[in-house]
Amino acid sequence: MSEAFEAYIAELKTLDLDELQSFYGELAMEELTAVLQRFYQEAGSYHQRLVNAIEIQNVLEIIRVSHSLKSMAALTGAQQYSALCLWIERFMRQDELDDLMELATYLPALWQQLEHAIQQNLRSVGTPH
Amino acid sequence: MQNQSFTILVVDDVTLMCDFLHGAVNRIANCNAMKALDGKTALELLTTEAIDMLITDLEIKAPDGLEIIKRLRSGELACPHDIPVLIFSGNAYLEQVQQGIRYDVNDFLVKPMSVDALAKKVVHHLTHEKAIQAASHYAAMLQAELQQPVARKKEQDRKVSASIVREAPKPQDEEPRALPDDEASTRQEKDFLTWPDDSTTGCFQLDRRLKKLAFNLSCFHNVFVKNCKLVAMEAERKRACESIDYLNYIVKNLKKRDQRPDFWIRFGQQQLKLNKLAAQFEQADLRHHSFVLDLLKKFAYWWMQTINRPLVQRLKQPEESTHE
Repeated sequence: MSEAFEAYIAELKTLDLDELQSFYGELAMEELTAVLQRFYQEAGSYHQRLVNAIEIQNVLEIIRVSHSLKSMAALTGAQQYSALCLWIERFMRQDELDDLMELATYLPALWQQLEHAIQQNLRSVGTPH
Repeated sequence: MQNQSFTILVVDDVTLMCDFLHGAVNRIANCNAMKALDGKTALELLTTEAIDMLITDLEIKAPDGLEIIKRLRSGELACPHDIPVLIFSGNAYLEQVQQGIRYDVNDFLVKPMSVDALAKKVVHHLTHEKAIQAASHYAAMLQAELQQPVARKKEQDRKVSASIVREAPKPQDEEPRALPDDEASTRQEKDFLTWPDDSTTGCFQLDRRLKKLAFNLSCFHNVFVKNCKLVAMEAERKRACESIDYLNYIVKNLKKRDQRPDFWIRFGQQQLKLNKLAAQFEQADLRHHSFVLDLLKKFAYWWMQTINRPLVQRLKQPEESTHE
């Protein structure tokens, strides 16, 4: 399972700003920064909710939160994280808890990478987050 | 389109997505976007504002996207029922799509979508009118949907045959004849089963809530032993817990009105046991099969304890009281 997921995300980027621009249209630097900041804030709280829900195995909450995170991340170009949420949601809807626990191990690392990529981008335009 | 201006309501419970939609719609010439982060606000705006198009996610805080669409199409809201409706969702499940088609949704947009693609869709649906049926057509459909589960529920309720309150004996002209032992037990059982289904007050109300609890626990048991999806089990567990909450609520109200302290003391003891079981049931990890099965056995035992010793043996009739 983990090999399959790793193969799936291998070609995906942690944060693809071109994709973000393709969804939002051409954004000015300040607008891009604002979008990233807002994503970072909102997705951060959703990420925490997802971690808590997985911890207590609250199935409905896991489905709900991963569903929201999946779209949010895809819109922002966070491809790997979005793929992880997509897989989590899919496995939960198929009621495969064991696979979920395996996938959940990727959550902290992928979030950390995404966080790092966002911070790097924000730093490069000189904006404190 | 060129001379007209349009107000478009966008609904999504994720702020980022809602703002994206809001921004995208505002960029379209002659379009003015309004946003709602939950179903309740969306309904308010559809009632108070002149909305020309609705773009909604399906999975939002209650009422959900489909419910808003149904109410809109049925003419329940002040807004015209035939405005274009676009669903903007990350998932398109067959059932949701079928429901959307039944209520003549104009389009299904899949998240994420680019600003340009969204603008094209919006302009297309503002300029190409789709034939929408009369509101009464959708209202009839909605009514039928609402009645369906009730009919099913009544059918299911009939299968539950236990009760703690015995039916008031019917006046009989002739002396009851002595029955052989076997027949007597059958008769006793029969008396147990023939409750007036339409009695909804007093102790009958309690009786009905207990039936409902038994039914919900039995539903949970069914999905659990069939090893259904965890989501289904969670949903049935939630229903069973709700029926316990409702039973507690009914008891609280009945106690205030009913002047039979002995009855309520005995029932209170049973209630305490039930609530302890309910607390364990609510927290139980549904993957721990043996633990959950054990809990269900305890519920069954509780149920037998409660109904096998009827708390109200017989409801007194006026004639009987005068003889006494």
